[in-house]
Amino acid sequence: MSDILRLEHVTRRFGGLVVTDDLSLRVAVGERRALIGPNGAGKTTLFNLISGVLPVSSGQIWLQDQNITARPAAERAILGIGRTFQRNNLFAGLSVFENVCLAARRQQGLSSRVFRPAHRYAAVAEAAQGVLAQVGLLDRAGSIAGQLAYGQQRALEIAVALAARPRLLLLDEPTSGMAPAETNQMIDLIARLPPDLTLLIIEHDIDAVFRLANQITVLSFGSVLAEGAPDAVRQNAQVQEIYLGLPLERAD
Amino acid sequence: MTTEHASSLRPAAVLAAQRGWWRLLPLVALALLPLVAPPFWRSLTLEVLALAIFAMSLDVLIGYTGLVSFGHAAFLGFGAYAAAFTTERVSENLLVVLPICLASVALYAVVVGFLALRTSGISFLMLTLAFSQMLFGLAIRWSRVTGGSDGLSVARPHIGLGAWQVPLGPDLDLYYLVLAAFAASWWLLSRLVASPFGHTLRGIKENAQRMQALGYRTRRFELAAFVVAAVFAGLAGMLLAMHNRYVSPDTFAWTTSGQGIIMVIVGGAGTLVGPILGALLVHLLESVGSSATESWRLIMGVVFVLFVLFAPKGIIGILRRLRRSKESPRA
Repeated sequence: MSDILRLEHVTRRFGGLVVTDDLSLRVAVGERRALIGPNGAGKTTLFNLISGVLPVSSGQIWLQDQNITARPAAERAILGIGRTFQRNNLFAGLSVFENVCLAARRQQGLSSRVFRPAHRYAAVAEAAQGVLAQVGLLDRAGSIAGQLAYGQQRALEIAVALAARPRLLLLDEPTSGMAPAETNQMIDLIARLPPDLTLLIIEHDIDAVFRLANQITVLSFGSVLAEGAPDAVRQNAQVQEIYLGLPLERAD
Repeated sequence: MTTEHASSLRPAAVLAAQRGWWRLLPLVALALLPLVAPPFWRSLTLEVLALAIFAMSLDVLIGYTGLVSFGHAAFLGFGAYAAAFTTERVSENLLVVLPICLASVALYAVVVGFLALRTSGISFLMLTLAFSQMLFGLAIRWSRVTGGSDGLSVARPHIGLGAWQVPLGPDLDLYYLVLAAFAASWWLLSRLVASPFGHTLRGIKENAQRMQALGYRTRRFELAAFVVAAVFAGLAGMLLAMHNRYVSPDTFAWTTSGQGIIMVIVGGAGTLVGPILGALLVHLLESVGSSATESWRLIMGVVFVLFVLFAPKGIIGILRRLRRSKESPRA
């Protein structure tokens, strides 16, 4: 199977602190890969390195056969890396519809057109409606994004990323701060995503991890502690030690 | 339709943003105005129209892209001096002067924008201020070329195509030229902010980081907005120079940039039509106020502070609130 993402000996330092430590990782096309590990293991930093928000200190990052190590965030997005954020990072003052339209317009290469009114581009509206229907927000299309309920904002966070039609989607704690019922809806939503879309998911909710992931990577102190199919990782003694020697349960 | 009707319909035209033909009423009124108004008011209206182009252009930066430039007068002045140089050294034909003015402003704006947009927020504000102060200094010091603090005279242009020539000598001709430029600017900028490009700018204002994560090279869009804004400011500067038949270094003064910001904020940032009203209010205060009282700047300061404190969305914000409360009391 071909890899969509390959990290080779990636290191990231903040001053003297090594947050990502000589980390290598391969993710195959269509995988649902969960990244777990205690707080401070460097999970979000890893997302920032992959999406280009932070440059690596050393090492290389490949997206399929392209070396993207030195590419800025916007170019990586154009090449097909999408991401959501741990804290809602929306266009809070714009409508829900416009939030997804911004992503769809960029994806369709229309975002620098200067003359025809934006709302006349039917393909953009169609794509936006499709994505909003997918996450169950179609009836809120006209609302201001910042005024949605928290759980709906989490869903919109994913909708915005999806509207840019990524090949690889990085989901940073999609269920964080959600009530159990909302968490279930969110897991269903993620589980229904098309199988050719590769997912990399940071998640603290262990139930969610085992329901969604077909591969798990355990991070600790910026490097890979264990990796493999969910059952194998569950049996791993070292992993159990990290999660306080108990059967895997909700860690925080 | 009578002028009385036109004036009472004006706020409605302003608010019914999408109903095209209502918008033409103020333009019709403006076209008829010089036929009835004395020269002083005609000249004042011309200045308001030119300053409205300036204020709208600044609104593209402040209200739509979220870039607060404190040096926008640089482009007003650049356009004015470009008009002076071109009419003296190249041609007095508007069809030559206009493209030279706009192209040179655009070129200068690319350089300034490229450097200033490497920063954001307060640093961007200070850098744009520094660039305009630099031109201010240059206009005063390089007197061999710029005439120093005496400034330069500017010839009234004509429009010429081969043997066909229309002089723009009389003030009335220039008034209609400025009115046409204002109408064209309003139309073009309205299209621009409603276009995908305009929506991109709003996205950048809301959340530039997320825009990058979606694949937008935000600085390119900011630079494009900066250059567009500069070109329209340069157009306003060229027209004002032709109207005054004169340019002086004062055009570059930071107070001019500050007044632009006041026009945008008082009128309502991010609305285009608001800054037009802002330009009207500020320029009326300045020209009528300055002849009536020494302390007109104080009055303008107080007006500005009151708006910032009690109506941060400007005149347009007040009108929208009034309309909403009329539709649904206690909303």
